[in-house]
Amino acid sequence: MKTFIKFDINIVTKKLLEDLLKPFDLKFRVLGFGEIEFLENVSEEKINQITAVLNEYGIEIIENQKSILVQKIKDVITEMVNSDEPIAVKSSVFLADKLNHSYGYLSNLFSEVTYTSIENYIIIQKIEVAKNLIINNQLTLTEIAFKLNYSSVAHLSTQFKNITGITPSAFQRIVKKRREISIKTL
Amino acid sequence: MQKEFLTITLADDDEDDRLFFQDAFEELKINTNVTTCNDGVELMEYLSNPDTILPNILFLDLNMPRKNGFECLLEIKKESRFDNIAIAIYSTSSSEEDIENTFVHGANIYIKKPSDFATLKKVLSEVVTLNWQYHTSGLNKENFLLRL
Amino acid sequence: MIRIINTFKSRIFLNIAFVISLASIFFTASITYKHIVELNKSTDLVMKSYEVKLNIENLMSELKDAETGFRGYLLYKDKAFLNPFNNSRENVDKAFIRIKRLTKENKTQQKNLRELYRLIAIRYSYFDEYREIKSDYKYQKYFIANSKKAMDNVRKKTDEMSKLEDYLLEKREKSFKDTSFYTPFYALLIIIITLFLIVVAYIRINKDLISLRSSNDRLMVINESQKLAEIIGKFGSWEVNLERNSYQFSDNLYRLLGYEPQEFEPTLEEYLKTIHPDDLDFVKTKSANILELKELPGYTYRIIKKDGEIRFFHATGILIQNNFGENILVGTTQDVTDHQIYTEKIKKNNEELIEYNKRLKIYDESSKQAEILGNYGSWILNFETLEFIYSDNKFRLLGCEPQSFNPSIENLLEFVHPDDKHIIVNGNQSIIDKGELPTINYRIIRKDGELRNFRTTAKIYTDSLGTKNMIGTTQDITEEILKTNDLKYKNLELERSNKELIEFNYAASHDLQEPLRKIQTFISRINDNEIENLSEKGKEYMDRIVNAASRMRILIDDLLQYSRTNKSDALFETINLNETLSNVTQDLSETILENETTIHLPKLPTIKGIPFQIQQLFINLISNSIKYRKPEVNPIISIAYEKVKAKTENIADDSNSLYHKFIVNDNGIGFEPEHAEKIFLLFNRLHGKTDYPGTGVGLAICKKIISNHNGYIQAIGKPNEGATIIIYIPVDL
Repeated sequence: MKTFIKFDINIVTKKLLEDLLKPFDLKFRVLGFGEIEFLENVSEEKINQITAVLNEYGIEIIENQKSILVQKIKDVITEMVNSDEPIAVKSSVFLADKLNHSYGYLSNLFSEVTYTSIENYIIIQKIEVAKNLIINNQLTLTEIAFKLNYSSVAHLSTQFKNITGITPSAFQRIVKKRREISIKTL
Repeated sequence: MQKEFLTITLADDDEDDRLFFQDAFEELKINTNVTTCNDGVELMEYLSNPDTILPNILFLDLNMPRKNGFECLLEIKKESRFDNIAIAIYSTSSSEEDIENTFVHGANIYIKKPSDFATLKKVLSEVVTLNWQYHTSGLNKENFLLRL
Repeated sequence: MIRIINTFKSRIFLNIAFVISLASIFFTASITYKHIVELNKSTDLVMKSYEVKLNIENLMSELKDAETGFRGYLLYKDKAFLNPFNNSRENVDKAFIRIKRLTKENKTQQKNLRELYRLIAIRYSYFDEYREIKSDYKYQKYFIANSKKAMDNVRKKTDEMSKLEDYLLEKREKSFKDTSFYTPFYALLIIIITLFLIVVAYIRINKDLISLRSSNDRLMVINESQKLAEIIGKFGSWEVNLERNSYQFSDNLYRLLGYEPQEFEPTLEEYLKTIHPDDLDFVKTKSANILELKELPGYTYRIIKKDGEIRFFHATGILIQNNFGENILVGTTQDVTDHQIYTEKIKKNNEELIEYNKRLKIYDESSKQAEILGNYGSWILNFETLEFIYSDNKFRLLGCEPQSFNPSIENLLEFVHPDDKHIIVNGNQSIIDKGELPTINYRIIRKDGELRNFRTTAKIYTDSLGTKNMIGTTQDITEEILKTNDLKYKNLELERSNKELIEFNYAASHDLQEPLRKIQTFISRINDNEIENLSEKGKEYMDRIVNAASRMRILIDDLLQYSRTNKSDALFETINLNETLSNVTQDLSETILENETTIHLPKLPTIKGIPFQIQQLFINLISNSIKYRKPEVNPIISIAYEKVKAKTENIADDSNSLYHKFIVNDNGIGFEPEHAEKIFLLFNRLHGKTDYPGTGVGLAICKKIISNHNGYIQAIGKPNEGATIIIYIPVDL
């Protein structure tokens, strides 16, 4: 039997990291999403071991500074997109502020590492949120559009379609039908 | 991503399409490992083979002899070990209903075979990129739907 | 007549009876009379005798008195005693006279009487003598002795006389007794005879009286019923005494004329007044020859009633003579207005009937011909007699000569195919049990052996008399069946062929894509890599090849899309059109935004249909409206909806069925009204391909979709005034 769950990735990751790192008997602290501060120096060997363990869970240790920053950018964007309150300022300004770098620098770095632009990434994230909201079925499309700072459903639809190739309502339909099928096959 | 290898598999009975496909990926300069199968049966055998490294993305033509793409889709979705494979239907024109139907039955991507090479490259690139995004950004694979 | 004879007989009988009784009464009366006379005589004689005796006694008594008186005188010498003596002498004389009278007839007694007289005289002489010789004793003794002797002689004589009288008396008494014995007998006889005759006569008379009374009663009743008859029969009777010129009208004649009985004097003038002026002369002419003809022949004329109503009268009369030899015209006049009207109606009816008859004959003929032409025969089953009547053609249908056999179920069954005999039998049973016959189909084998299909329907018909008949029609539907089968087969063929075509269409479109795509792809490869190796001409040619290929692609894409719409085996589902339009606007969101389009949507209903096709329909319509916009005007598209009844709309369906009506209106460039139907044709374009992109499949697809939903689609437009597409989708599919 299948149950549908909703989860907060932060909590899950934190718990997982704690569980994983416990046997290593290291003092550490989980700072937000994607950042662990080890309170003592960790040997390279240990890091390799930890890396191996974490890799099994798809968790990678990013060493590269660039990668770290890119990850940070992603995190901020994720936070930005997921926040319930609309962000007053433009995303570029917000990012620059948050990460203490110029937007141009951040933008270049991001593209270099990820091969996509920040704008694109933001859009992808937004659409992803939209998808989740659609799946949750709590809000109408208009409300979702508004929540995600689109001036109209048409704008949301357009962007949704640009990214995914299908309309939000088509997406809704597909998800609904998928659920029906999985219920049937039980 | 540069370090990473993308394993791609294509199941298509058309020789030309297989050729285009491989050429496109070659020109894309992404680290890919492309394998092809000639029909559905071959595909399933390939996937079931324990030695096979399962692809990150599987491109499925719908019109194949012996076993068509849709049947393969259903079979693949049944097995949990194939859950990590992003399935892209790669087919000639289908009706809206049929397209939606593939999504409903588990396809992540639907690609209408483009009629020029440049578009093909673009399409494949998009697929790969988006897939990589899902892969790296912890996005819900289930919600990965793309239509091109 | 018989009664008259009876009466007559009765009279003779009475007369005879009367005469006989009279005669017998006379006879008996005379006999009785004689006897009575005799009786009287006898009585008289007896009486006489008694009287004689009495008088003789009386005489003696007187004599004795005289003697006594005398003795007394003698004794007492009183003269007073001589009174009775004197008296007695008188009385004796009287008595003597009486006796003399009484015995007049009896000679013997007369003789005796004379004797007695002498003797009495002697005695009296002695008396007289004595008186003179009063004291002489000797004489006294002598006197007494002689007196006594005389007295004795008297007494003897009287005794003799008495005895004679006694003897006579006896005789007479006997005769009296005899007579008196028969006399009452005769009297009784008379009485009895008389009584008898009286009784008979009484009975007879009574009878006659009764019958007379009953005759009278009957006459009275007849009279009354005659009066009633007159009223009911609407006639009146009249009498004209031609000699005295007196008229009598019956009560009802007055009533017929609208008057109260006897309201006016029955005279000729008064009667003529009632006659319609136009018919007056006619009447007079008719009545002129009465005396010659001895009758008034019947004739009809009009009268005007008291209230002004005109009626038709028919008068007839006969001339008779009454007991005084007077000519009496006795007649009857009847109000024949109704009859007149009735006769006219009948005449008209008759004429109509003749007309109808003529027509019926024609109908009959044409019906016969119709039966032959229509290959059917008719039959009638009489429910009372359970007999069949077959039309001529019913026989011919079976391959027989008309009326060549007796129509019956048994005879019919001989023609029926053995496997279908039960149908006929059941049908017949249904007629018997339920009095009805459902339509039945069955096979027969004609007389010539050919197998035919028959269909029989029947209906009960109750005629105006209440007789129930079943009227049936049997039709040879062999041709029809064959045609139907043929049609069915052809239909199936068509369906199959159609399906094949659709599949072919789809396959072709689909399969054509592949090679085309390859061509295009390879061309693009060449363009990418080898284009520099081509000459200018070569490059140009390549361009054209690319264009042509693109066009072909579009064409095939559209064809494919169109052929997909042919799939009519998709299921009808419930569609919330609000959702559909939401999908549509999302699908077209980019172009809607780009063109700054406004779309006005009302609240839309939920309909039954094929979801993807309906969505495609609206996608096509809206994208058309956007495509064919006025360049300087932002497109405004409005959709209106209402539920309508088919017959109020300008569509082929004129029933009461309900339809969803959608009106999609835009403010684009519109089109010429004369193209209103052409735009729905496949590949029909009103503009050049360079002006507006598209192959002209969009509206054709819309039409196909609507046709899949059994609806209607119309286009209304005027150049530069936008276009309106009206869609009808039936509510019940």
